Amino acid sequence: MATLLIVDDLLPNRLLIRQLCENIGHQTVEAADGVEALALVESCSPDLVLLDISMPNMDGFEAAQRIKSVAGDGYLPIIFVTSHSADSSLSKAIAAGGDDFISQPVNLNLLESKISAHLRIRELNQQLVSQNRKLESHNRRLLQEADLIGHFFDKALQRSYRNPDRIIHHSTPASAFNGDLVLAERGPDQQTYLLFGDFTGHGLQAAMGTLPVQQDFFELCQQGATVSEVVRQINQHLYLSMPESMFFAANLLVFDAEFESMQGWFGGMPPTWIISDSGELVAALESEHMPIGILDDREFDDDSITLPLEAGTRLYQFSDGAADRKGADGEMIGMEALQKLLTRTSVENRLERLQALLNEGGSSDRQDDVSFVEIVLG
Amino acid sequence: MPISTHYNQALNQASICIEEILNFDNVMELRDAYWQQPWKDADIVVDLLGCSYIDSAALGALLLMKSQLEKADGDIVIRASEKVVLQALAAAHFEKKFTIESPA
Repeated sequence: MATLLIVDDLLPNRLLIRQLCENIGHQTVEAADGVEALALVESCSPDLVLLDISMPNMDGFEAAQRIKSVAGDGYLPIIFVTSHSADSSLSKAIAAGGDDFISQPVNLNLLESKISAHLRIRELNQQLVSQNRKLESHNRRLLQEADLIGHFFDKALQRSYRNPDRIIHHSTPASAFNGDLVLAERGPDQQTYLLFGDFTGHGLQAAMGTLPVQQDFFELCQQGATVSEVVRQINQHLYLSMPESMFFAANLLVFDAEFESMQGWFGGMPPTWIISDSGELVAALESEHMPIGILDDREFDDDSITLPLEAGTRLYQFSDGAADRKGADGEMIGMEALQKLLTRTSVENRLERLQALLNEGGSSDRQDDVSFVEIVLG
Repeated sequence: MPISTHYNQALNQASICIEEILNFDNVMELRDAYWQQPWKDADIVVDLLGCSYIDSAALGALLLMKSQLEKADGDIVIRASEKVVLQALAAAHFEKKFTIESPA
């Protein structure tokens, strides 16, 4: 049973409609003009309004608009009651801010049907508004939690060794949490370790894996562990703790103090390039191993390669999010395009051009975490 | 995206056919395709011939499938022809765990 507001300047009309409404089983309140109607909307919160169009002072159309603005985001249906045939038009009623019309003499069955239909819509709307409120509150809670969790990751990443003259990296996560990892640390012999990797997926579940990896990495590097020792330990840790569908594609590089030689373990990442300042591709180091976290300790292969490095060259690494990034044309950029950019751009401009290319597709459609590293060698 | 399965009783071979893309957003469908199927000890073929892209989540899902179906290294055949798909399988060295076939 609902409360219907009847608005009509003529008492007989009001009584007639009231009678009809009460026969259907609803409660009624009455107003003789637009001003009274507005007051009753505020005080009684009716569920539906039956509004006479032709009234002195405030006419029905204006009253409808005022009533709608008082009702706010709740759906308060207004059915115009018209006597003039010229006003008997649904499009006119809706254009005027109403939801329906009924013309006099009012047919009881028709009135009942219209009232039912509009009350049903009102109820659906109220459910929607209530659900939205719940979702908003839920969302706010999730954002607060994400904020707190983010704190853990930020704290851990701050430990990473910085050497801005040698090591430049950019990482743009797809969401609040980054599944790509770039970590550097110095060893006891002034060697520099660089771990660059990408967990399966993205978002919080991908970022989770970075925490145990970071702990192991910093500890082992500070002890001066070999490349093989570091990757083996990280592999065993992740193999035992991550679900089977997750792995960590990664490159571990260790540079001597002068960056004149390096040792590297390459597992599942796109190729690492060494490019001379004059734009020549000096070396392309492909993935040699399965990503970390897939094989048990027995099957895991910790073989690394050793490479002499020359001054006047730089090393570049990308996570697969970079090559898979869509450009302005909607197509994936691809590794070839990245290589072309690097070999054809002068050294000073490479990073800027790279950033521009990776940002071409806009930030709204970021599919994966995107990261790259540049190391100045020799 | 659509995943379909075919079972050949004579050969005892089940093939899971994945069109378009296999990625983070639809890997659950892969699991639904092989989960609790009545192919007892059937040979499995993963047909990615019509697939133009797979991501790391897809690779992870394939590893999970191998484990859940208790298949040995090389038992499951993966067929692919698209360059980026073959590159993704090669970079992760999936040939160590699966038999990778690509049409000449």
